[in-house]
Amino acid sequence: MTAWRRLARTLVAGPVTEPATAKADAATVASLAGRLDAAGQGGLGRSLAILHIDAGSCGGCELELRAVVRAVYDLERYGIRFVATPLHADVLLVTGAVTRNMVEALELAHAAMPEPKLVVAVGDCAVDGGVFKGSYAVTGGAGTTVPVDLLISGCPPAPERILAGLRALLEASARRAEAVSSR
Amino acid sequence: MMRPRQVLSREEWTAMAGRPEPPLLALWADTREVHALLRDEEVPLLVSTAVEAGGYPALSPVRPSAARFERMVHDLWGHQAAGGIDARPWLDHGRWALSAPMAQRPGAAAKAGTPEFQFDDDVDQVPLGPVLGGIQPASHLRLGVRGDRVVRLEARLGYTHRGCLTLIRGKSPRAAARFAARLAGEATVAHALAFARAAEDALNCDVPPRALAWRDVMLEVERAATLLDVAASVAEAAGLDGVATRFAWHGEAVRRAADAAFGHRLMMDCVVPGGIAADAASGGGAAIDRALVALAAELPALAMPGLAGHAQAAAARRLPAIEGAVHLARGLLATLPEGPVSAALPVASGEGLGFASAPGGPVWHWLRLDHGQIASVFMCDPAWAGFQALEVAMAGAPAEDLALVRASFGLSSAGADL
Repeated sequence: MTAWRRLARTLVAGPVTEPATAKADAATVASLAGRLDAAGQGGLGRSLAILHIDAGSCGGCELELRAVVRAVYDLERYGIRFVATPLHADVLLVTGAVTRNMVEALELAHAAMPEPKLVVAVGDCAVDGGVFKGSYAVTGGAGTTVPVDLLISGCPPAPERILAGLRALLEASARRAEAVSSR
Repeated sequence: MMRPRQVLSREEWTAMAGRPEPPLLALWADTREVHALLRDEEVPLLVSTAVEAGGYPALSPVRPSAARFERMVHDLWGHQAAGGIDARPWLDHGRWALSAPMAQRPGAAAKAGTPEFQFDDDVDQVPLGPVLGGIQPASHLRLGVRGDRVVRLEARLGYTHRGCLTLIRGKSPRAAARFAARLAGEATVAHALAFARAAEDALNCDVPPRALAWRDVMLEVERAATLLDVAASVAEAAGLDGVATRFAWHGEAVRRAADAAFGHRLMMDCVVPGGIAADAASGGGAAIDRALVALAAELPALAMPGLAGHAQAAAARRLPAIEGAVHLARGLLATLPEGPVSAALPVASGEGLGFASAPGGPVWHWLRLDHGQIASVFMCDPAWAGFQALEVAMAGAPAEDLALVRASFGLSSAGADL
């Protein structure tokens, strides 16, 4: 196919990113904003940098996380992006039941993050250990190792659900930032 | 499919261990024996030998790919591979409250510590992981670098070890299928299918034709969706964002069609021993067919120019594999038999082996049932071979190629971490 035909087809086909339908749940936003308020933390405005940690996932949650980032859901248009180091991550996003072999890595990453150190547990395993609860090799959900701010359940949670959760976190953080700056 | 398991005497096992043929597919154990799955003339051959004085003759001196299996067998059951080429721990990082968790009498906890990597003195070691950034499975890659070249790469896994085999032991095949389906998410159908086939082989259970057809449809739909995810990752790593977008769009369309048909985007827990969990929703087959037709129409135009070496070779294999999956699934959908979609499993004893072709390679499951309960089990994922292939591919390669080569292998550590 020539470059011109490809270009022409792209123009005719239009964008593949879908309109934003996954709305942040108002009650979740209010509860998260309350958490930030109670902790005396400033919000971060309309942008979040996420560090993902696979703490013992089967890889199913990662498939859906990649879907959230890619064209159809396009996470970055909301100002949320994945980064490669805890040193400039606002959010720690944990997938998987926390394996004993990953506890230290998870603790180190959390310690290296700047405040306010938000933590999101994605998937039933990260919520409470899921089907792996009680194994000699896992401690349970993400909350057994780091303080969790938001739980997104599902095995794995569908992209819309992950997107709605992360938007709620962004919304709460932005609301808090506005409240702090207007004081 | 399978010849009966052969129990070898110590002499017979030692003779087998001394020859490179037939090649090894997997090695595992239970409390009394070690089992080796060999590929003999394209037919799997399962051989065992009794563990004596806590050990068995190692296979790794002649079959180096056995080394990590031997380390896993030691960490889970405590059996020593006598004469093995690598005695370092593998799954046991010294963080569990016990050692040899699957042994009759587990031992005291092992000492925590970083494993020793053996590199020449003039090589710089670069540690990567287990937290790699982006959206990646947990694994540690140790690069031995001289200048901008990778002299050697060594993968260290076990970070996502959840104790799946222990959780399965003592359960019925139906209850245990949930764990098989969560060994490796990108191959959940393949693992559930291999597990179901092993259970059905053990119990001589016949599965209704309609369930057999739906299972194969699910397997091919999973292959298409997972390989599209890998292709999108490769295109992203190569900077081909336009092509990556198209792979991602089709991947999403296939996942949604799977959701419409089976009620789950990954089709997790849809394959169960004895058949499938439920018949597809009405219109589900048509939804899958539509997604596959659209994919097949655009696939020939989704070339990835500028790829070289292993990434190019992997892409050249992968796109025909997606086409093949589309072709197979559409053929099955056009000729779906009518009838029930599951059979009751008898409560009995027996042994069985099950195979399925996962997106990343072959998946093997073996289990032994004792009056309807699983007494012993092993599940082999292509990640065992995949990480070794990554090590071979990166030896001598420029360090900057790592992200692309890694993406082209589509590796997930969970399947090998158990």
